[in-house]
Amino acid sequence: MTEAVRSGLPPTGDVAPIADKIRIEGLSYRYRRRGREDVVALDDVDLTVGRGEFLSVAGPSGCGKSTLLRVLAGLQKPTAGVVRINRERRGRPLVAPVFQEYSIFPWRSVEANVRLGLDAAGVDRSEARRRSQEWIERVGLAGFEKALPGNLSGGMKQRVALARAFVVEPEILLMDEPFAALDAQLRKVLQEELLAIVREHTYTVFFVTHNLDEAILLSDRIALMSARPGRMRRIVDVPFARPRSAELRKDPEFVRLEEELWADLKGDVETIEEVVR
Amino acid sequence: MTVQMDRSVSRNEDSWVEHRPDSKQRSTAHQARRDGVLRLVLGLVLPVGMLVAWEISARSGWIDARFFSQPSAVAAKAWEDMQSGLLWSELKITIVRLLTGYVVGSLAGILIGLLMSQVKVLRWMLEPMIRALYVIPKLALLPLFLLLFGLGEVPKLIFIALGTFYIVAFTTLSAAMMIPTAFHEVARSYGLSSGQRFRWVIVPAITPQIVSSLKLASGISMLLVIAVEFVNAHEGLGYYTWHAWQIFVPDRMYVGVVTISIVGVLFSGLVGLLGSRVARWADSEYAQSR
Repeated sequence: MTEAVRSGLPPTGDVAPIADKIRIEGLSYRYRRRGREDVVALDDVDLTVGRGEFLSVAGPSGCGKSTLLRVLAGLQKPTAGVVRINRERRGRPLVAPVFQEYSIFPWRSVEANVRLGLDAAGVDRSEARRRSQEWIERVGLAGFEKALPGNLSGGMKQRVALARAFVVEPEILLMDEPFAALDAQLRKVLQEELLAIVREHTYTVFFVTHNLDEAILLSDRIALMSARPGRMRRIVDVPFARPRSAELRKDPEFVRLEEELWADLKGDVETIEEVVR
Repeated sequence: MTVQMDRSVSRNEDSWVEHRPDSKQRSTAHQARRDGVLRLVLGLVLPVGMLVAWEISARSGWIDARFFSQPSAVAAKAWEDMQSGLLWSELKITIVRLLTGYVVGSLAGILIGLLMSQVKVLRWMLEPMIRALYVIPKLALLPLFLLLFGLGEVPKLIFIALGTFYIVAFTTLSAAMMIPTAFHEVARSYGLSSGQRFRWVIVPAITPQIVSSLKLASGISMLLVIAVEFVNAHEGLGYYTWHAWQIFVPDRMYVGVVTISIVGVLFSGLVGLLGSRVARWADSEYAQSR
């Protein structure tokens, strides 16, 4: 296990070293339950994410990948181990999350939702409007600035959540299955949009998904996790050069990689089913 | 036997179920106008019919008009009391009591409810008591109130305010406790200060529930005003009505009842109208299935 994790780390020495952005060391997380055994969501996880890297965490449901993201976001404190995040400059938010459910505020208009982080930081009103307007157009919501979320479709709501995260220009984007609730077509559209956005701006992205196709298309590396307890199973380099496009899906190497990863995950999914039985 | 045969044939016969546009289609605006008129007319059928039946029964002597009066006599009495200014002064007193008690009770309810939701110590201290007292009909406490606060104006106002307070405080507390965790997490992740979280998350999130509790409380506070005035007052619409019954002027009693109903309906309507303006976002969020 540790071997696999090490081999997945960015090469050091002969190649120019990539600066680390996130270092996760010996991280464990237990959900305490009264009168019953603790649930070990994460068990001794080690992982390093480089600056400007797009890293996906994939694994069967219940492998603690969302917990990992929530610990990174500072929403949960680890039970053991440590997470270190490198801050490059002050005055820019360190992380901005995009959650899987639409967590935008139904009482704020699209524009006001996108502006949320800027408002909180006390950014000048006209400046905030200009920046949110830019992102509203970027995610294809121009004309809906004044609409309330109740009148928007699921896909549009998730675009608002994306714009809200991008507009604060965080050092790290944390995305927890941001496209999981969308239909297949919309999912593809937003994946391509994300691909384009990441191409233009260099973000460090920590992307949680259970969708291997999505993980391969978007990421530089994929961390595969196993469930119960959630452990790091293996880290895979995605060999495709950027810029990428959706065409990449037709590449035989893409298909092969997806099959390989799936074969790896499938064993885990089957084990879980046996446990349930 | 032949009938039997026919049936079995038709059962196997393959057929088409068709959905077509209605033969006469009206524009939605037209349809809405027609529906509106129909609703108004149907809504009036029963009350108007009952008034007519009442008048006819009284005139033809089927019921004793001395006890049950009749619409024309009630209308005449209403006119008389309006001319003399009696009805207006009673009305004014009741409305002042109603509004004072209601506004004080609502504001206190929202404030205490919010404080309880945000301050754990306060919640643990107050919630059991408020919960326990919540189930007691406030009317049952009236004698105790008279005992505690005497007969002046203030105890009446406190009594009305208390009835409003309970509903509003309780609803505010529950609503604030049930704000989805996702919203709080967004607030934390995007660096909202506690003041910003209060103004941009908590207050707007609970506004729709507060508005509906205010609507509910408007009815209750009307009830309490009249109850207090029945028992312990020398002016106001409740006193006007109760006194008319005691000195046996049924006409005036009916004027009182009708006036009280009108005030109640208008008050609830006003609260509802103001409320729907405050919580506009809830319309688009919750009302799509309407």
